[in-house]
Amino acid sequence: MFEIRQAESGDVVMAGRLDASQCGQALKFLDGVAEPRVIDLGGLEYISSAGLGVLLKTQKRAMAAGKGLKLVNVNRHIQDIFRYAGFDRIFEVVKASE
Amino acid sequence: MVDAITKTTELRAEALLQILGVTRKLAAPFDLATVLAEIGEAARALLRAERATIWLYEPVADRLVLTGSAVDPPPQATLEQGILGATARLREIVSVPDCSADPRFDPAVDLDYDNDVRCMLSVPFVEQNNLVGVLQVVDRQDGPFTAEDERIAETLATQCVVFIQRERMMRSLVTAEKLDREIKLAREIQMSTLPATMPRIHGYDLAGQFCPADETGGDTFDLVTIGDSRLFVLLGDASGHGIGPALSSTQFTAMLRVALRLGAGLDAIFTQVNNQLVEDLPEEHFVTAFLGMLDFERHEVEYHAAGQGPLLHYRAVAGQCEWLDPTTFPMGFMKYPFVEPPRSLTLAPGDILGLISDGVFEAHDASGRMFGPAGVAEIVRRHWDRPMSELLTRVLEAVRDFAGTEPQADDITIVLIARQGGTVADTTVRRYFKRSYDSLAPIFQFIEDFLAGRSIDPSLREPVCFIVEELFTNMVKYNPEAVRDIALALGQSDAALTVRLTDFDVAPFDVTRAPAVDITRPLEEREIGGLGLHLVRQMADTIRYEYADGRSTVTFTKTLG
Repeated sequence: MFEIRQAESGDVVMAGRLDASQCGQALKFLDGVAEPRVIDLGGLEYISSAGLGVLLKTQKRAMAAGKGLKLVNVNRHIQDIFRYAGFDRIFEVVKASE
Repeated sequence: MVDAITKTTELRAEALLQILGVTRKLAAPFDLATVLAEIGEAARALLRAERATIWLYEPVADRLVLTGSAVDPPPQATLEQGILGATARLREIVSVPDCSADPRFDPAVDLDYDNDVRCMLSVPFVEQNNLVGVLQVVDRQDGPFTAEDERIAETLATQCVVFIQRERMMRSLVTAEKLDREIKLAREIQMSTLPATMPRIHGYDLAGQFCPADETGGDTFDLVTIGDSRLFVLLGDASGHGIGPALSSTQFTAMLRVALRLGAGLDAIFTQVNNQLVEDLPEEHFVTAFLGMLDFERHEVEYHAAGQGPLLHYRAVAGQCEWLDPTTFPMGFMKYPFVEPPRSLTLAPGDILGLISDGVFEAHDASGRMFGPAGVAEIVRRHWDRPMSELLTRVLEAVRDFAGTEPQADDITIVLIARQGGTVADTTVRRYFKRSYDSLAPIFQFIEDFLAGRSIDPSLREPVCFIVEELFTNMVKYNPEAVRDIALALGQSDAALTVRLTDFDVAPFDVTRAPAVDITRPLEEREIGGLGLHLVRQMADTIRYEYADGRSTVTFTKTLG
């Protein structure tokens, strides 16, 4: 199961499993958010490389508009993936509080 | 040669006949001394002279040696001495009508026979500008030598050169062939001491192979079961090339077997055999050797590695090759002042002990790059969970591929000892999935059930799912023509979780060779393509790609804590 929504604060919230079969839905949703600023990954258990592609595209769009994305509440496993992928160099990543 | 033949036609019939007689003799398999005597005699008779002698040139010593001499050692001359030396230096015919009037004349070399010499004809043997020898003819009966005499002597000299060269070539061929036979024999003896079959030990998989270089090297190996819990393991490499090392290694193996049969322990064998080698081997020779005793109930190997290394210890848990240094200097140099206790290592399930002769590490490509331990480690990392005989073949293939057209310079010997339990065959579960992203959910479920059913650390779930998803979606994306379901197999051992994906009726695509991704690039240069496989390689502890019969198989492992 994968879920994506926008909280009242304006933060985008993702939860569940973002695999290749869910990426279309995720990207479509994010494209619909005018100025994405924060993505809360607290409920995200899993992300595949296709999911990373969605984040990368959104970050490029955000940077072009002048403000980069902040990825918050990132769990340990996804932190590892971000590190392996070098995402920690191109996103502001905030770990989940342990 | 053509010149000589043209000149021959101008000779008188008698001379021609005699020269032909000599030529016939040259064709017969006479030895050099006989033929030279024959030529000398022909020259003497044809030129109606008193005496004729032939000197051969020895290039290494840069001197001439008289042939057919009754004196031992035969008389010798430098190129500075006499008319003889002048002929050799000038490489021209020297005709002296009156020797007593010629300042070059030196009775010490120009005449071995008597002091009363009148005229002399001295003819060089030259082959492609190289001096071969000198023919000297003295005291023509009817006065000084004529121009025709010079031509006859020259013709004889040409024949002589041909014969001498042929004879030398034949002799070197015969020597080479004899040596070749001896090397072959030594090689056969060497091979015959190798174990014909591998001992069978429960819970272990053994493989050993010896690949001789063209020239004999001195590699050997041995595996001998002792009692019901131990295996003696040897890999040795006697220094040098040729028959010597082949025989040294043969003798070495024989000594060890005798010592084992007498019930000697590892340390005693090591010390005693070394002392014996010190006495037996020529001073500059030595043997590098691994002598080990595997206790296959305790899974412990005690060993001495005398100049033999690096030794491979593949640790299945870490999915890494460890390289161990030799414990002491090679055997046969000198008596060990003291013998340290043997080193020991423990083989965990899936671990491999690899004894590898330097012929593998030192195999080089055309540019001189060495295969090295890194080359071995790469193959082991990819094929560690295969039967040892297969892993061994893979290493040999890799060495051959690496070397390309470079010839094998040294013997290659490999002994592999794997403790089983690192492989998955018995516990593997396999399922087939449709080529669609919709299969991802059931795939994740399959993985989750497998892990939960075996109480495997749940933190492995996400990395395993990540890798499987990446490999699976790759197969779906890049093989759009393929129709068959993709197989996913999961297996567990003490040491690791093994996952295998198989895609059928597809073209090869080696995911392990996809280009690395530079993760330090700025955002604008980042593309998602290639990143997935980059991450897969980071997250899998080992990964291997195989292709056969239209089937792409990717196998990866995650080490169990």
